[in-house]
Amino acid sequence: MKWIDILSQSLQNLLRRKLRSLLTMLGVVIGTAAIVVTMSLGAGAEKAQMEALESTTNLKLVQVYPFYGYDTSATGQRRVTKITDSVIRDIRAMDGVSAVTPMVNVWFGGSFALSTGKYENSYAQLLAVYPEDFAKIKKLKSGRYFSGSTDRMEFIMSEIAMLDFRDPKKEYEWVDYYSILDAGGELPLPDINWLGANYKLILRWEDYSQAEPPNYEPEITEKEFKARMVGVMPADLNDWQFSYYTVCNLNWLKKIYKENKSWFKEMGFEMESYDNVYVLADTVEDVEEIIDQLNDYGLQYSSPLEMVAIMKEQIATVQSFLGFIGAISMLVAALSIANTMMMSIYERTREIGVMKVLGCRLSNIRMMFLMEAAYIGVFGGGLGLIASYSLSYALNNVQWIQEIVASFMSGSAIFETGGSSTSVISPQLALGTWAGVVAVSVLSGLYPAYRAMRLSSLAAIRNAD
Amino acid sequence: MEEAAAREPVITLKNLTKIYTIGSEKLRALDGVDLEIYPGEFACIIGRSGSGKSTLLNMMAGLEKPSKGSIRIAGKQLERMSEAQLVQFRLNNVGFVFQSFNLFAMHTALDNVAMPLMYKGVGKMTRTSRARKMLTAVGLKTHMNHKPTQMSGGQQQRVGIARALVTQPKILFADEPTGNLDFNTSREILRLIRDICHERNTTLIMVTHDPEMAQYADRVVRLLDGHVIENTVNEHPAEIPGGVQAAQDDTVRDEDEE
Repeated sequence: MKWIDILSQSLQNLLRRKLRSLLTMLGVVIGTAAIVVTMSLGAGAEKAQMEALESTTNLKLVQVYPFYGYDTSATGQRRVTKITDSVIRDIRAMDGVSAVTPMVNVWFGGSFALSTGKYENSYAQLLAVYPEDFAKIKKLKSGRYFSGSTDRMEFIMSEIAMLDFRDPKKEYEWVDYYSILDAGGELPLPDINWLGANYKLILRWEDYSQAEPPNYEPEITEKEFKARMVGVMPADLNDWQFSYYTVCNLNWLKKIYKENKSWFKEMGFEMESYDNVYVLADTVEDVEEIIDQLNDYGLQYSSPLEMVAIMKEQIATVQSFLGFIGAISMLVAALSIANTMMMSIYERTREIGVMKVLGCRLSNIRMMFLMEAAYIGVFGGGLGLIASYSLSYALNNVQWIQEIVASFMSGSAIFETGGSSTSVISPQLALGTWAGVVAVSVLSGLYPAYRAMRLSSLAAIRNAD
Repeated sequence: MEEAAAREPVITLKNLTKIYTIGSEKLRALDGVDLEIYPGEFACIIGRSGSGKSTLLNMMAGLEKPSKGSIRIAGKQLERMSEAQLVQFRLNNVGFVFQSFNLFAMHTALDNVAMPLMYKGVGKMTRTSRARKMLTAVGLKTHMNHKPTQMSGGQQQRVGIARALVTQPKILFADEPTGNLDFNTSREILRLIRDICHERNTTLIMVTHDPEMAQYADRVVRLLDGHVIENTVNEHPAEIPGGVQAAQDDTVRDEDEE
């Protein structure tokens, strides 16, 4: 038989029993919609959570630490307990790494003061990074990145840190920058020609070790450096890595450290190795590979992707439970397909027998019944997808339905999507489910089709009607 | 030439035996049947109910396996064939006319007749035109697009005959083809089936319990309890009475019935 004839015969047989076929198909429609919509709720939750996470975190960043803690001699795990410049070079050579910089947080027994004109910033916290890598990690609001020159100090600040420049003669006034930024307002920055002004950085140490009673006068030493502010970072409350710091060029810090090594050491600041390194991956997909390489290298790390993984796992758990319920309704639909097919075969015993007597190939008979089952899957699945998209649209757009869903989902934090789409049907989900439904339908038709093929042709020619 | 061809039988049965086991009882439906049927013959297998005539027909058509013995049809040993091969064999060599017509109820006369050609993989255009010719030959030119329920028994059996012959089989098996028809229609159908087979030199093997039919056949095979008790050749078979032409359709009764 020609394929076109098999297909058209199957379709005709299906259409012969319209109501029964329709009811069977309805089961498939419900099964398909149950699977697609429940999965789409999970996908919607995942999308919303990812969006929330991406807005606060750079998922491409991996934070790297020296290997602390437990003894690994039993497992043979490599341990790198000191991150030196040569380790940094090794990390830079790893696959998928776009940028890498130590995050040197300069702290003193003494104090900082960064000043320009009448304004002084005595809260400055110095963070030194490699200039080229920083340029890849952090976007600026205005100005430029570090020039690379180490002749004088260059620094970049966010507007949050810039608030700390004050006139010491005036009364202290605390600015609630959190509320202002949260409301989308502008920070009341002091009137400084930020990128044009000359700044002074003063490192001051009060050494009490030689102090004598009764006055305990410390021995005060100060180092003064000329400085320029070259760039401004946007005020980002979530950016706890950079927004609160005075970011400077690590190469400059290295230079002044070298020149004043004993003085720094006396104050308790050493820079022989790094405690905290940032690695930027080329893409989010590269992060996993980088993590593997860091692990093999013997370093410890943390990545927001670990949080993503936990989140995805939670959603997958809920999703698999919901999908399981959908799958059960699909199973019921499959049984109903098998049942419909069996009934149709019993009804058509005589007809099938005649077909065999007339010389219809066994494989053709089997194929006709399989195709009948496949049609149920194709049409039922297709209608199920239409139903799914309609339902998904209603879930995302119709107020009262959203309220009902919200009341069901309350207490399930991962489904709180904060206003974005509740239900997301990806093409993969739609087409994958459709293909799966057709496959299940064909599987349900397998045994009935086999039975049809095996039916005795003698039944046809028995004369009793 | 015809003589030479006639000497080679188209069907050869040797010691054909069929034993049904019902519980502990063994029932010999056929008991060592030897039979030869020649091309173009109209053979009539006559017997009472339970004589084994239907079993014999079923085995010749490859619908049942013999318990013992051999069936050679058109140069093929049927008893050695698988079911799939038998289906193929039927499609290429054998036509079958049923007592209860067994037309496909959802299809028109034309589609019913075209069906075996569809099974054969013949394209729609070709099979429709061949089915149309065949229906014209059985006198149903005006009923091509009628469904079985819209036709009389005689018309339905004409469709059945057209369907059996559309593949141009060497042999036509007919199992009580007039069993469900009234007396006059029976004779018309019998004449049609005989004439059309004669015209095409198709071997016709008919099973019946009606002794009247025997006088119209070239060969009469009488069965009793699984044995051949008579195998005679009719040199001058009787004419089938009734003054109408086979191809002329006088069985149109559908208007009355509906």
